[in-house]
Amino acid sequence: MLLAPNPVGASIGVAVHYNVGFRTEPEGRTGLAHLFEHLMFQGGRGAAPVGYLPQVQRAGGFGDARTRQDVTVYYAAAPASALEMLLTLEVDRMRAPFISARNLRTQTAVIDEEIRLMVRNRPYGTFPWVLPRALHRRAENARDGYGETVDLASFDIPLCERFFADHYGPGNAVVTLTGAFDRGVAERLVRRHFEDLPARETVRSPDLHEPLPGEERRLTVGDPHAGSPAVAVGYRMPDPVTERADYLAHLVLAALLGQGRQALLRRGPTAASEAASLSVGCGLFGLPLDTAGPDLLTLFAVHEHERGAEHILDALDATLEALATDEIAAGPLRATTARWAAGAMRELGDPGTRAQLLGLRETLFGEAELTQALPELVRGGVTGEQVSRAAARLRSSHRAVVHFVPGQAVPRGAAREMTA
Amino acid sequence: MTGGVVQGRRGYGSRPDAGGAQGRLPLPDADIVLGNGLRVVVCSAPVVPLVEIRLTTPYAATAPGEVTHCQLLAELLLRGTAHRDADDYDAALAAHGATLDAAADARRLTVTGHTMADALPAVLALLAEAVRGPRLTEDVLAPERERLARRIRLATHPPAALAQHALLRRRYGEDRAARWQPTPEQAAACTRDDLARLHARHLGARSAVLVLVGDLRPEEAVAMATEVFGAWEPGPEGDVPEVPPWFPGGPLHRVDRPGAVQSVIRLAAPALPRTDPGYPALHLAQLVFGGSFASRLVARLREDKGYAYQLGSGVESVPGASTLMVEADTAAEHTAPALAVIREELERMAADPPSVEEIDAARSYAVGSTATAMSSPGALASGLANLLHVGVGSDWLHNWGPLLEGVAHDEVGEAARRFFRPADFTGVVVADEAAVAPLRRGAAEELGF
Repeated sequence: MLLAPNPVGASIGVAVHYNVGFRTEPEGRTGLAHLFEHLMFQGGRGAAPVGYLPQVQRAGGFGDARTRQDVTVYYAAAPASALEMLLTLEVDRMRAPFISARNLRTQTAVIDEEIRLMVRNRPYGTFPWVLPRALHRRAENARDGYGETVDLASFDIPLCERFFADHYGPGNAVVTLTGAFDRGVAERLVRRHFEDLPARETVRSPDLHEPLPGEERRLTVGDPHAGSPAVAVGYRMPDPVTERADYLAHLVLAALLGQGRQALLRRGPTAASEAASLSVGCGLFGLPLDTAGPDLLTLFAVHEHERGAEHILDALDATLEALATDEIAAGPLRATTARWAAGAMRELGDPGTRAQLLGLRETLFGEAELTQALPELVRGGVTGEQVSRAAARLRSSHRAVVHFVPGQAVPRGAAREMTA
Repeated sequence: MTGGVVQGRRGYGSRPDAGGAQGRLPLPDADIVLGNGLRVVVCSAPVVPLVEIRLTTPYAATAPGEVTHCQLLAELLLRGTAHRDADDYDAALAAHGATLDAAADARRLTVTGHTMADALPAVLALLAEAVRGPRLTEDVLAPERERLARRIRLATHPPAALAQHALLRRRYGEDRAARWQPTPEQAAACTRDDLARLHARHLGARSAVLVLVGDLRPEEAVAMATEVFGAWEPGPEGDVPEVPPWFPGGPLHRVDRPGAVQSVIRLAAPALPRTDPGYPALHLAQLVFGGSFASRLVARLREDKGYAYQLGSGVESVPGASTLMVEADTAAEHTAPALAVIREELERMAADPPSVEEIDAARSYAVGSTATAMSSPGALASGLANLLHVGVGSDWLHNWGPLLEGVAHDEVGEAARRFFRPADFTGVVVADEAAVAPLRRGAAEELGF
């Protein structure tokens, strides 16, 4: 239970993180964590039949949920007066979600529409999922969060109930409160509502570490909706706990390469003239320190000419080489870290987002305070020498490169995986 | 400083009536107009040590190509000034943790950004420098021209963007759509002179609005803005953005997208502008129809049928006009039944008007959620800038709660009857015709689909 009051403003944020995600699913049960999130989102038995979100909205709030590699989070923001009601709704579904056969059928259909919307019907919709598939070997690390259609179709109520019993115990959850509330009042409310929840055993998450790739991995995918070819690149990130300093240096490196108008990859005559869009980020979904397992630094660029990908990769390699050889000058480094820090601080200005970020780092690393410290750690703590080392590490590591080919007509055999 | 009054300071969120008028947002601490016509709106919200910056200059695209040129001007605006090149300019901003981005549509050019609070004077000075004298040289222009052309081309591919383009044509005809839509060809053809002309005409202080929200002292922020922007030339008489005309309902326009695995449905009907006294009642009716998770449409289409993941209704506002929008993305095989459900629910708004319970739920959602959504300084700054752009006062957010509380139940029923008639809607469906056509039988009358 994390209480992070901030008396400015009149809203509160609530996030409940469960230590379970799409990497935790066993073989043959892919997509279960996400489907269960949809079911759980409807609310507990006490909230039925109105449902969770209508009640939150009626109190002037909004809420959502998302499933990531290692965590599933339910979050809401609302006027401060809704604090007890939000806690009641959370404890209600933590005690017993309301799952019916009809509910299961409907949400499976809704997820089918979600996959069409987010992946199958839009240009480059398989990004970022295609990168872990190319870079990782373990099935858990390579899968996408939506799961296999055949698995999704096979889920029944007993399976969902077992999933709930195994992963949604109070001991496997972190509840975070932010915003305009009184600490004493909140503590009393939390005790009143959560204390009598029976403790229960939780199935431990598997250790999903896998060795670094021993060769560059390439994949070509046909994209029926793309108008231009594109290239995606994925590098393994350092371990967020044991290699924290290196991890932070990678954040700065990604910002130097691709964030902001004057980013290094936007300036070279080659890269700048080739890419119609370019983004570089840490974390599969662009959020750093979002998983405790193998994670990626990603680049995605759309280019118009056939040889564009080659030029972008050349520019990337040359820039990494230059950074590894000559330390970045103090001025640009300070500018990049100052901007990164302000951006990270900005996210904490929203109580709902703040609750999510505090709870996320608490769930993954037992370090809620990391979220608060991150802007200063990056601004004051990352040196040019560390960035050079990060660049050298990327330069010498084996990455995954995925080419997106527009149109249905993918060259024969191109969809298979190739080793360079 | 002329013609303005700095209002008494109001602490952000330190409302004495926090429990009573729930969700009542603060009045801005200052709302003044400088001698050159620039309006400055300042709101203290010391949540994090940052200040959010929004600068809007309205304009009216009068000829095809102008909107594209304005977008190009936006691209160039923060790429150096007469005094420093792009690198120097960006480095000066970044040193303060500041980010500024400019964008333009057919009605306004907006600079959006934030800075560390203690650097506000320096960053405002940099903004003023760029706005008054951007570096419009050929060497900066050439690559940006190419880049914009590519970006416009790229932006037309997502199915939702295809639908938006088609819907614009469907609502307002080819001529206006051509005037409001950027094209890659127009980007490629834009000259330095075009940009210089646009800059002289549109980027004056007259009728521009600067919004500052964050960790600031209102009096100081106003003084800073006055000092930095006081010498900004007013420019010619400010353009008044064109009010989009009323458009008729009618058959849906179909856009074939071979290979589409989902159909994009977008329906539209003319509604009341934000400034109209009837707007709050319309908004409540809209929330009952499809604008919240508990709404009739979401309950049926998503939670009952499972036909859509993302769907709902909303009001799209521009200066002088609003459009009621209904949106759903659904698999080919669900397209006809989904349209039938939408039509049924539209009809039901008159046949079975919003109940007292539905209206009260919508009202408490509308009042509270506005305050919740505006609780971050960034959202509040954008919210204020957008509201001022569509012509309501800076006290709109503050008064929104009481305004909604004052709406009688029968006014909502009246709005439901008046604005949700299926015959008043038109729209587009972007779909794989080959997959959808065989399913259309039996649903041919559904909104003309």
